[in-house]
Amino acid sequence: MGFTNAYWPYLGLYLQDLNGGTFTGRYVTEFTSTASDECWRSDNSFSQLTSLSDRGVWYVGSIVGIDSSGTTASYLYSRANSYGYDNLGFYLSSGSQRLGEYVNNMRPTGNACSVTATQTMYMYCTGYTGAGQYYTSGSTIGDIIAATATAASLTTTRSSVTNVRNYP
Amino acid sequence: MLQIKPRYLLPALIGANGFFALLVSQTSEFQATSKQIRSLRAVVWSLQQKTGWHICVEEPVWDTRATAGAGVRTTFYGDQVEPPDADVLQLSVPTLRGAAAKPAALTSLLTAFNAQNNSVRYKTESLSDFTVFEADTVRNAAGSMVPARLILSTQIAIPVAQRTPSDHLAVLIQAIQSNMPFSPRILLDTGLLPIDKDFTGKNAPGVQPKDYLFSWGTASPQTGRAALVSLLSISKTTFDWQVACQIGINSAGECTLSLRPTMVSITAKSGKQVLKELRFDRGRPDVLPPPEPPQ
Repeated sequence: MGFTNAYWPYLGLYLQDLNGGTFTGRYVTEFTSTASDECWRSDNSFSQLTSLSDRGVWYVGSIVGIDSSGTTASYLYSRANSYGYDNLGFYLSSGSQRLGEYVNNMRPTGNACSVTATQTMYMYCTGYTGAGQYYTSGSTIGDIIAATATAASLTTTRSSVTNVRNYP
Repeated sequence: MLQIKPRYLLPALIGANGFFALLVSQTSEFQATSKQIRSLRAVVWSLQQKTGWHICVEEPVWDTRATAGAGVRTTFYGDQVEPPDADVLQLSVPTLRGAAAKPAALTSLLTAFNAQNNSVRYKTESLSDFTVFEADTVRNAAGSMVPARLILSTQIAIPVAQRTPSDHLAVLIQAIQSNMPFSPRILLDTGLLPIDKDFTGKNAPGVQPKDYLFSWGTASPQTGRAALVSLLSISKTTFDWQVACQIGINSAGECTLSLRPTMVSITAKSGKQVLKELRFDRGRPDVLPPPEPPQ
């Protein structure tokens, strides 16, 4: 779905469509492993990244996005058997500063680097507490989610779907 | 490069007062060798992963230099001379088990760093659940050891008001920035995400920023460190902090205050050692995280 507004230029948006049944009205959440941050160097002032995703909870059938203020999640529209947005990428003004450090880190080699984690989706039976079940994306339980920086752009990846944003 | 030599793994229960109790793999013996910039930070992180101890590291505001001299690096901040180039830190602790292990291990770490490095000396301070490694003296541009300047030692007062955790932190940073007798820009680093969810435990669908609001401030002037501890004491997740400063040639530079949940190494159901952020160790969230997914 591209990236967020100008307020958070490096935060990729993802809208998920569910298949195999009718799930509108259910809640889903995510279990995300600790991130692996290969962009980080010991001389960076920022701490090594340990998280990559927002640990959100979504209501299936409702699409919610960050408004133009960049802070408030607002209902956007309904969409049967879908939920969103899932935000993935470099959030906050310090996120952009961190991205600057990472891009600078790779300048000597020109090699791209990534921050990755494994994300597994979970659907609750009722409400958003208690029992539920993990569900698959394709043939696997758990997708690699990633934010890959090059000298010219940031690419976020979730379920093999990519968003690319060129740096200004 | 950080090399860790794990020894015998022993599950230990931590977070007994919190909502989640995790099995942390404690080694009976801990050895680490770091040969990188910010070696103390590297060894602290590896020690935390083994123990779950809340350890913080505060670098000094390094001295501005007029000329590059040795050790110049080109970084995001321009031509960089501080922090000093790669340190070497070797630490060997006989055991991480038992009530006496923590003070003994942290004393060993402090002694080892101060004996093996000549650019900065640290001291430790215990504040609430945190052990803070604070720079004590630092070598200045002229080569002399002088008292360290720490951004969190700045005296501040913060009006009591309703704010989100992120906004409380922003006000705290702003208060330090405007009261510091020295001039690096201060950045706040909470990873890629705001800390409001982890701080308040509120993550239900439809949660808005107003739901994160709570009243906080300092009744009287105190150090930025004391104010930070006061604020973090309200959180449902324990956040450790790190201060890292980057100072270039003839530049005021930047200091970054990083906050993040403690990272621990745990044994997953599969038997593998995995890293986990220790969230909601001090209070129950409104949305219970799902169980560990199947392998």
